[in-house]
Amino acid sequence: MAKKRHVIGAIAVTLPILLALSACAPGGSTAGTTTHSTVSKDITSKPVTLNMLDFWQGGESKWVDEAIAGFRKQHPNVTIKRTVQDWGQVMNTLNLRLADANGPDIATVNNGWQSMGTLAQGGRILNLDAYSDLYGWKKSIPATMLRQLEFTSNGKEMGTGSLYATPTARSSLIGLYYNTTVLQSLHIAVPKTLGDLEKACEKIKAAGKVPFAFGSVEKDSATAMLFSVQDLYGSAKNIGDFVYSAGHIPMTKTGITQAATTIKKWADNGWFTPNYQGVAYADALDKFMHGDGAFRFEYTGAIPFTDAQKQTYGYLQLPQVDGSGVVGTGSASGVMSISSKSKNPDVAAAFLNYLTNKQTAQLAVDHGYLPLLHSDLKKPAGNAELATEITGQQSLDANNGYVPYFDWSTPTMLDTMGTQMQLLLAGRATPQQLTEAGQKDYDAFQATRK
Amino acid sequence: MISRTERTLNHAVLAVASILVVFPVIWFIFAALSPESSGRIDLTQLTWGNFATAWQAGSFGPAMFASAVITVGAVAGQTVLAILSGYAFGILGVIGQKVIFPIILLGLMISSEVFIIPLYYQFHAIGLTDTWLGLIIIQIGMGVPFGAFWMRATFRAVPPSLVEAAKIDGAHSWRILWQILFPIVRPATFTLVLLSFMWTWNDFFLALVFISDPSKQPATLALGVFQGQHTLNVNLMAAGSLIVALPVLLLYVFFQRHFIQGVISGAIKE
Amino acid sequence: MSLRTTSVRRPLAVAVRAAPRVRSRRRGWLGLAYAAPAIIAYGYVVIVPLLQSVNFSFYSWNGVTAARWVGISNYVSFFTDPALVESLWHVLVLIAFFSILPIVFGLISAALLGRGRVRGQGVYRWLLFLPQVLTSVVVAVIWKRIYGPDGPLNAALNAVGLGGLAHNWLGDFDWALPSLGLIGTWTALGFCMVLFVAGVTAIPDELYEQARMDGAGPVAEFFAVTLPGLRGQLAIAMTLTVTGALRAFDLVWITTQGGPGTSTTTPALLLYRKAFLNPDVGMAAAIGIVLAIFCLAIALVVNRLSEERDS
Repeated sequence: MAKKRHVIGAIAVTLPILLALSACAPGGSTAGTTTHSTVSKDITSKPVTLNMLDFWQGGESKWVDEAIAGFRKQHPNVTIKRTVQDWGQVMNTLNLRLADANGPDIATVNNGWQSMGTLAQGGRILNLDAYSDLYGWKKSIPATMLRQLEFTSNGKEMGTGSLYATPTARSSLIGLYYNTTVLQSLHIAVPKTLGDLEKACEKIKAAGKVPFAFGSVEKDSATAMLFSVQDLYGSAKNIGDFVYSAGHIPMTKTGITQAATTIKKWADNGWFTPNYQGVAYADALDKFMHGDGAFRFEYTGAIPFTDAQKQTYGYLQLPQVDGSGVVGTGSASGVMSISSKSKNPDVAAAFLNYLTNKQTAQLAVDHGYLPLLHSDLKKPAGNAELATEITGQQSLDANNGYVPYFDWSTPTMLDTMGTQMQLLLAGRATPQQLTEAGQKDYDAFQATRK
Repeated sequence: MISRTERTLNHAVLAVASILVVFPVIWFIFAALSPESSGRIDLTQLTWGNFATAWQAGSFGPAMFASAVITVGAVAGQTVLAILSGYAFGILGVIGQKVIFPIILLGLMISSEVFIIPLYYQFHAIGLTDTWLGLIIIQIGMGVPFGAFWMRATFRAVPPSLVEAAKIDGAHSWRILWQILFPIVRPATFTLVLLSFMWTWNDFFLALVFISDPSKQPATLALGVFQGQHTLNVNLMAAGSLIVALPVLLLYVFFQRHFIQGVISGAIKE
Repeated sequence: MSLRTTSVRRPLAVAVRAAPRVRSRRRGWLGLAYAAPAIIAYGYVVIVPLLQSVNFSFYSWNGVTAARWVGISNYVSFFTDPALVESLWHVLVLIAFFSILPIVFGLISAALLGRGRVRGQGVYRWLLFLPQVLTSVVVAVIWKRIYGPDGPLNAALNAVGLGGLAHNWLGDFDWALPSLGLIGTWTALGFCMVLFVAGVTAIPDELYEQARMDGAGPVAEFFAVTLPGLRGQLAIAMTLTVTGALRAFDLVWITTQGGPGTSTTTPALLLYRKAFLNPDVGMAAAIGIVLAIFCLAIALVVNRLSEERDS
């Protein structure tokens, strides 16, 4: 058969080429650290253009634009050209973009092994230690916050080593939002504890309303709730150490099993949006904003409240079940790294520093977002909702209760937990099995670090 | 001849199938016309305003222009290469074609995800990432398998006597191609142009990887960003989607015969 | 190039026949000159990076730091990693929906319609073919809404008193995969119908007359004349739809991202994850190459079968 010969011929030709090519390994240099030797606060007066890649859209975008405008007032010679894409697009292509000399000078990276760890190890982003000394970030930024941005230069350890990114002066927490209109119509007080919350849910359910606006079609939509409830059970130290692979904390000690058990109970009680397994994230959010659902676990800044809604919605950082304090998942709403290919790292660092300062924090508040790193800010007038977020944040500050996002613990943890939550809610996995699956993911990753 | 009952049955089968196929699209169009952000349909209250709002909010103007530039460039390149290579493989014969042509056809079976990462580094090395030109070159290269395959089959369907006669008249290969053969294969070429247009315009993945500057992004990518921002506005999202789909839909309305016959006979030809 | 549920860009690639009629050595070189631009463009954009991907597939590489040679272990894990093995089972289910269902419906309609032109056939054809020209992103967005708990599908079921059948189509472990599959059926149905009806009209009338003179009923006629006459079209439809199922990505990515749980993961989805989300470029390359080999093998087998029955 003539055809067969063609295929064999093709293979005969390509095979030697393949073998020849296989001899050379792909991949970048092993140079783990990229430090800029001479750093300076002095920004030239020559025109400089910085390319910036970030994921801030909508209202958040305005906040960034105003921060840029503020920076440009000080340094009119600097132009910052933003490239805005949604979170997924940024994260999926970040590794490629930062390899590009024409790529971004500064970019929002994700904490954790998957994004920042890999980039640090591969030398794609600058080691910022020298700039940290220059600008005094160790003083102006709390150690718990810096820890989230540190890696050893061989990429083997997180939460220690050198600084590879800086936070923006805007915070993102996970916690419980409530709709006072719904609560008041049923004469329910805003809950103060988990017990209160569950009693409130019983009443709401009995009144024929929906306690939690929740949809879980997307894999990761249950994780905000999972991590938030986990923080009610696990200690800040255990969760932090687990995530940073410090000590040998088994996953069972992070409160995740209890959290899964609690959430499953809520689901079985019928406290979630009807047919929640088929409801999309955006639709659940939409329902919550239209009063269909009294509570919702959510990232701060993710719900675009109208001015009217800012009077009727509130935010809550629940205390731990054993009453020992307040623990909550939180970090900067975005962290910025400098590309090691950047031709103007000094200017980039100056801008990063600007994003950590008080003006940026004030801008966040003015736009209705939680500030970070600064407390003595002008309170927003007529934003009752933001006031409750600030109260929640202050309770975390007072308890030193910040924990990192649990999914930073391994590159695949977010996916594993998302999958397991869907299995759990469908009754196909027990809370114990969920924890076992997470532990397996964790162990597999730890094995690769050695 | 077939009986009246059979004819009625035929109509019924076709009608039911058509409704099943078209219903989702119709529903989506009405959602785009709905004044409610949930996309709930109320036939008494339809509004065209969503299209204008979406056009503004998604800055589809520059994005449609980018799509147009990329598509026109890619289609022009793909078509020229297809004609030349189809002529070479179909009429002239190529040294080593027993090996070369199957390797080209291999491209039809391989999706771009397989080699996108090395491709990115390659284009990055020559500074063509984040440019329209880079994307156009990639589209041209990836269009070669279908183009060569399609035009080769087309040229081979031309009666050999025509070429022979021209050769006897002393015409050389370039003249034979453009003066004698091209007029004959023009309809098939037009079909190729339409199909290439559709495939290039509808591309999302390549643009996602290769274009990052929002001022350069094509419409499908703009739609991606737009969806991220307006997930809560089903009506705007539907309107935005329809805006992006419109150019291809329009071509389909006018040239459906070419599209359908192209796809069908593209599959059948040899 | 977007991955469509039924990828029409890839016709039956393997059907290559012998070389052109007239040939001489000189013309062969001339031909090479004409083909050169295409060969160069294709080689640079497809073949060179493809070979590099083959190379990558023997390494463990996160796309950033130095790669480590791992031999064929990426290929071994394709068949041992539970997530990948599971995704191959999902592909079998998808094949039923992407391929078998549209082909069966297509054949039935061809059997009914092929024997006489129906007035307005052009309009029907136009409508049935519509899903083929929509970009996959839009198709996915449409269906995600339709399958929503308050979407038109459940509303329709409730309206006709079949509320008991309403489901969380994409959120249900048992229903998500078939629901995705039906989207594939939707896109491929028109393609198969149009393909087969065109094929039937090309069958010489004499064959039908002969069959009828031999006393064949409609069913016997279908198996004796229509089905054999459509062998070529069947081979095409099967190759395209089966490889489409094997490569399903856009649709799954936008609707379920492989969930709930892992109930709708496909190999192409895992490829994408490993290439971009949790970079394991070597594994991603290996998945891509195995998929490409599968597609090629399917095309060869289907083509071979259809030819063998020919002779």
